Amino acid sequence: MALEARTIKVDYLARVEGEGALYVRFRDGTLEDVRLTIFEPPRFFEALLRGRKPGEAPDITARICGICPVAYQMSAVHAMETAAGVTLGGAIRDLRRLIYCGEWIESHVLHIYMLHAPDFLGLPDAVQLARTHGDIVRRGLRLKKAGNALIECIGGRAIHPVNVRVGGFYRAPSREALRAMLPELEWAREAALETVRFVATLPMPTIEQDYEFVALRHATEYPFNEGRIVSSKGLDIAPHQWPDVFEEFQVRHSTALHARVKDRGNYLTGPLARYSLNFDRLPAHIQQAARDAGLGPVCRNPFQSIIVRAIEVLFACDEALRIIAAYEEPEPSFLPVDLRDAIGHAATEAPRGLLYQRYRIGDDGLIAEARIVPPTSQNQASIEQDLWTVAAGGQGMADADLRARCEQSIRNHDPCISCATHFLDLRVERA
Amino acid sequence: MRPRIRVVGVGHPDRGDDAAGLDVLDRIRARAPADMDIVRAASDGPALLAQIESLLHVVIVDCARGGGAPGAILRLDTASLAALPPAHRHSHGNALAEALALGEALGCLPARLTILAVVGERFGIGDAMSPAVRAALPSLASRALEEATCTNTG
Repeated sequence: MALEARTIKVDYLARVEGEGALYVRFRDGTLEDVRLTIFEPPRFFEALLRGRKPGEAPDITARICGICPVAYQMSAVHAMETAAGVTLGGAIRDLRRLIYCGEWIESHVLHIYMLHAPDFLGLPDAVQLARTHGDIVRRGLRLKKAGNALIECIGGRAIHPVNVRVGGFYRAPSREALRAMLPELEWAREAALETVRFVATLPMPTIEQDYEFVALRHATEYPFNEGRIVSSKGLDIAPHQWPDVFEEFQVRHSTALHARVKDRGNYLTGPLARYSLNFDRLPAHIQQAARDAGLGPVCRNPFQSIIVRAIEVLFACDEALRIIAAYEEPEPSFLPVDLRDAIGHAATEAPRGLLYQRYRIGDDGLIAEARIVPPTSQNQASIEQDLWTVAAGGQGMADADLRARCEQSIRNHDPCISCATHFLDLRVERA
Repeated sequence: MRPRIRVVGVGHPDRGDDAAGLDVLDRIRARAPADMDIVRAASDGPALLAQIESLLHVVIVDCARGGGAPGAILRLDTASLAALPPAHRHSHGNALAEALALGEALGCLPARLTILAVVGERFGIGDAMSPAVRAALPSLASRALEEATCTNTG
């Protein structure tokens, strides 16, 4: 009997950030190969940073992504400050949490409404969603705008903000400017709660994955900028130990490096990991909203990430209101940070997960080495693992339906391919 | 208060002819009447839609690939846009196409919307603007100002 091959291919993934493809192959009824192929060209940001001043790192790394520039800035400034032995508190620390709230809101809302929700409703894109669910899309657009406005108010502009610097902010926003945002953020909190209720009604495929979740964990807070790196399999390390515990490696089918826990394997960062490792750090009313939406304290169904994102939007609105209510302008708005012959590491929580950066500053005061490990790189292997599960369970589905389910499965993790493809390890082999 | 009339420049300052839409903004800023404002387009569809939704009159100035000889100026309105093929819908897609499609679906496009686009030929990173597009910039700026100040709502 001839073997029967069946291939599911998507040459250009839609509704993800950047350029990637999907490949699934069955042979004679057995799932044989699954690949999330990333072919966006490498962007060499780590090389670009060499020889630049440490103070330029937040502005250069912000250019890695138009959706999550704040995450790159935050990991960069914290790494530099760690290298200098400087710790910032008070209003500067609050402003950093606040600008991160803005980024989580705009990034998560974009993904929930414009990129992911159409999958659950069997629609091809957000334009069709706008035709069938106009009020819902209008709410999403306004909510995203509220997040962007927060970034603009603190960062000077919504995309690639320019006000973040090593040691603090070039200029602190006035108390009045931030308080003027309160009415819209009050509306946003209600809209976020409605978002949680909306996504909880979506038809939800059920799979449970045995991820090793990896996220920051702080002593008292749901994490943005600070904390230890912990995992659901017992890791508990300081950010500077990242290279001791994790490793990056190349695979032939991706221009983005993969990552794994040394001697163990795949892991997952991002909303599912953050939520599952930090449920007890959410305020009680947000925990209740999660329960009402059908979530337990740990969520291993990747399709439910859309609900977790909505919970995080609710938290970010709540946290933004809390910070603004107590805000007094810091004076001065930054502390001088002098760097020479030092090494600094930091990890912060980008919307898509843990973002690790390491810098070595030479004795000339310039960046000698830079390393940037974005969440999508770290998640690639787990995304492929999800695809194995989804494809194996969907063998009976028609090709078009299975293709759609596989794409939805990739979008569960909101991959930012543009962020992931900046690696430096270019090898040229000549005969 | 939101302006009644808005001119939106679309483009990238460092990609050859794609800078035309931004260059035009600089040319018309000093000549713009009080009820007209001039903005650079946001880089994602939802944000660009927020810049134009529900306004009375919007003129978008952009650069087109194809559609005529380099330097030619095209004029599109809402009806002719609907006939264009859909753009790639990922983050590297066309923010303008996404904004217009979303706005149309939500019924919040400006009452009057005109797109003026100069046909370009060089779009590489770091490219200089082509002579044909550079020569067309004064006419493109004048056309943008004429469109924006024209009170005919037809």
